[in-house]
Amino acid sequence: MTWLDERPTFLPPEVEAEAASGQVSPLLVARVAAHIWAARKAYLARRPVAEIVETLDRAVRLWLEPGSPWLEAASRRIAAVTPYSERMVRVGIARLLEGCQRTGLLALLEGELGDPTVLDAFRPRPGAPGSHRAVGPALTTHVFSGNVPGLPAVSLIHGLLVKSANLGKPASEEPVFPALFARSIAAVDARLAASVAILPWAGGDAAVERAAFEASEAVIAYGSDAAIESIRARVPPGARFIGHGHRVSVAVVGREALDPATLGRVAEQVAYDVSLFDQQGCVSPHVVYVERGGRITPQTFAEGLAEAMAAFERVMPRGRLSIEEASAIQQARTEAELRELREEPVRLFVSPGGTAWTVIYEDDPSFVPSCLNRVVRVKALADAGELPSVLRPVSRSLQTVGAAMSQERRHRLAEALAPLGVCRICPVGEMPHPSLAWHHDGGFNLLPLLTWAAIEG
Amino acid sequence: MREDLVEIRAAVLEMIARGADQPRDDGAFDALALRLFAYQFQANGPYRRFCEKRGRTPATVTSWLEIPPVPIAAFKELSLTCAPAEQAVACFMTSGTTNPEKRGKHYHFTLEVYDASAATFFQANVLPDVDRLRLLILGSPPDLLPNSSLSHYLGLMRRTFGAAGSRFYIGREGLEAERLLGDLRTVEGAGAPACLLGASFAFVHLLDACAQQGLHFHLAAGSRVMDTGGFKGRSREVPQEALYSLIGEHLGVPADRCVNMYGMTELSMQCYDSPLRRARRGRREARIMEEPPWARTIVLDPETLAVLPHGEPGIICHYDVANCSSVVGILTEDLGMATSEGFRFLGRVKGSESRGCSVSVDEMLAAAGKASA
Repeated sequence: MTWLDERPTFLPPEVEAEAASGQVSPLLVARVAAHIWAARKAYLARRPVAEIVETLDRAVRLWLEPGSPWLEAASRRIAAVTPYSERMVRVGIARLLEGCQRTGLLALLEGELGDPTVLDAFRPRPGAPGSHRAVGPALTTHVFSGNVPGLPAVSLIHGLLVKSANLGKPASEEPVFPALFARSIAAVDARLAASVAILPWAGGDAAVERAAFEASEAVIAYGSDAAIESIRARVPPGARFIGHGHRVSVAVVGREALDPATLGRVAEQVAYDVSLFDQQGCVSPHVVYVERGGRITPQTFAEGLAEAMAAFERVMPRGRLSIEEASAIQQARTEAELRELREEPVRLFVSPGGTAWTVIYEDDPSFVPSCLNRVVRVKALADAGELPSVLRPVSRSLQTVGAAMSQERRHRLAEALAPLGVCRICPVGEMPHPSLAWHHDGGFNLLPLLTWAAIEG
Repeated sequence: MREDLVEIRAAVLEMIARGADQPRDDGAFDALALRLFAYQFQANGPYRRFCEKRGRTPATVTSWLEIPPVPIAAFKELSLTCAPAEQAVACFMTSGTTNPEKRGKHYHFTLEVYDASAATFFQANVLPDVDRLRLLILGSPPDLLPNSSLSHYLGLMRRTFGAAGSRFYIGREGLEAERLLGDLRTVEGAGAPACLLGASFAFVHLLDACAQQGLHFHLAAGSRVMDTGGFKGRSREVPQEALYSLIGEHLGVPADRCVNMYGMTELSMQCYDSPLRRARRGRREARIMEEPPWARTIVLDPETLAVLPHGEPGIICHYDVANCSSVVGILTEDLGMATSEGFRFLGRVKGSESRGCSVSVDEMLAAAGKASA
């Protein structure tokens, strides 16, 4: 076995041969689970959390060193099987893993636990009598999605930090990254990686998933609302479930950022937020709200954004689309064009000769979800203070708001948006790169996995 | 100097009069389509602006393939007519299943061309061997649905080709199943051939009723079936092959006498997948849709809207010179594939599925609907 092995599996050597025979059976899943469970008990569960942090930091740095063969292999292979370009995959994974180094890992642990050594032994907790110890699940099953390559690393890191064995199911459309990432951990500490297994099976295979969930004390799943609900219903009572379903994000540009001198830069940042991973991430903006009353109008901003979208396309071309996806873009363009022809306050900016990018300007501020793949609406707002009422109809689905405005106004806006379920307010240009310590979809990442014990008196 | 619509209409009627089996004359089609484009460009303001944005005017367009096709969504947003809507003799409207507020409207200022186009090609595909037949119509009569192009079409066929006893079986209360089953018994007893025609979903309801009551008719040789329009949530979805197999089982009409029609409110012609017409012309290809000689159906690349070669799936686009008073080119929301014999309809284009944790328009609307329900 070489570290850069192409197989989408990462399994205990005892079951490798069995898995190579093809079909994943419930029995195979049970055997894999038993092996990683035993490996965790024998090694991972006994490691101090500080040592796990060091191991993960070293594994992550393998990906970030100049000319990393890991990053090279992952981006080449992911680009071959997904619609994404190699360059886009490389940038996305590198940015994501930069945040997963020692500093990011410690910030995550300390942010959620205060003293991370509660994972190692009973410790006093400020304000609570007695001493306390946090125990992670013996085994966690992860059901990954393929829309944001690299994201499975975050989920596996959560599992390993709480000393859980981890069984990961890669997405059928992106089976590359999870196994490669597991191998990079093995390159640093094979005994620690022995409590990780990556095994692709057909999503929704009831018998196989029953075997996986029954062996698990926690299940973490990413995907469509329907997929999340289907999994939630099948997780046995007593096991914890964390689902990351559908979310939408928007950007807002305040009038202080609407200046001819800065237009190019702000538009470039927003174009980056929209275009990275072809808008498939939950962090990708569907709509950009632009305030009136700046030195340039919302419509001029839309023009500038169109130019920036074109420039980004030249650097990182949009991925290949299915007939349905391309056709959805044509329909969205038609709809906008017809309203333009009826002399409604709508302007349409499109990439020539194809569907690479689309900017639709309209006065009407109501939120309209994008058909994705770099189709973004620019909508005018008299004042950013109107944003909460504009977004209220979709508050259940909101996630990130990227804001180009003064620090003070950004804080005020955040105050008004937090009650709507907006769980991240960040500068534009940073929307695709949440910090590892962010409360993903508004919840903690490690705490929901933990069981606490206390010694009193 | 603009040509009078009356003259163009006469030329279109002349082409239709040459019949379904006239040799395919690309030159004549091109000339007629360009005359129509020049007329519609000057008579139809929204369409002119649509063409001008694309740099396509009668001065620059030299072939029918360069005439900009109008996406069917435009029939919902714009008044696509060459005359004031209030002068129309008929306004056919789409069903508006997704949004009842926004129904596509197709105005007709005379039905002469529409009727000639529809009747001529219907006869060639459904009744190539007989002049009249008893028509059992699984559809609503035009007086019940005055804005339905399908009801108008079915009424026209009843008037033009219906033998005694021809009638409609969908009334205000839905499918009159008992009456239809009774009439089927009579037709079967008389040993006379009949033609059942209408909406595919209505056939499903009829066949379900037959299955429940264990009925198996043996309609006389020469009987036939024509279905159209899919299911649109009005019955369970049945794949075409399964539908024709059930028709064979419960009505005694074999699949090689089952014709499928493809029509749209936005068009003045229909396309057919007709084993009856193919057999008459000595051809035995697998199921394939064919447009009439006064229309051209092509398949476009959804990415670039360029014409795709045969065998590659894309978006179906029709050019129909019988569309005299609206627009000659229509870009559908249908998936299809062209072949040397015709085209295959592969289904409606659905909203794109998002790949991950973001959200698609359809899902969002579905979620909003659930929330308000």
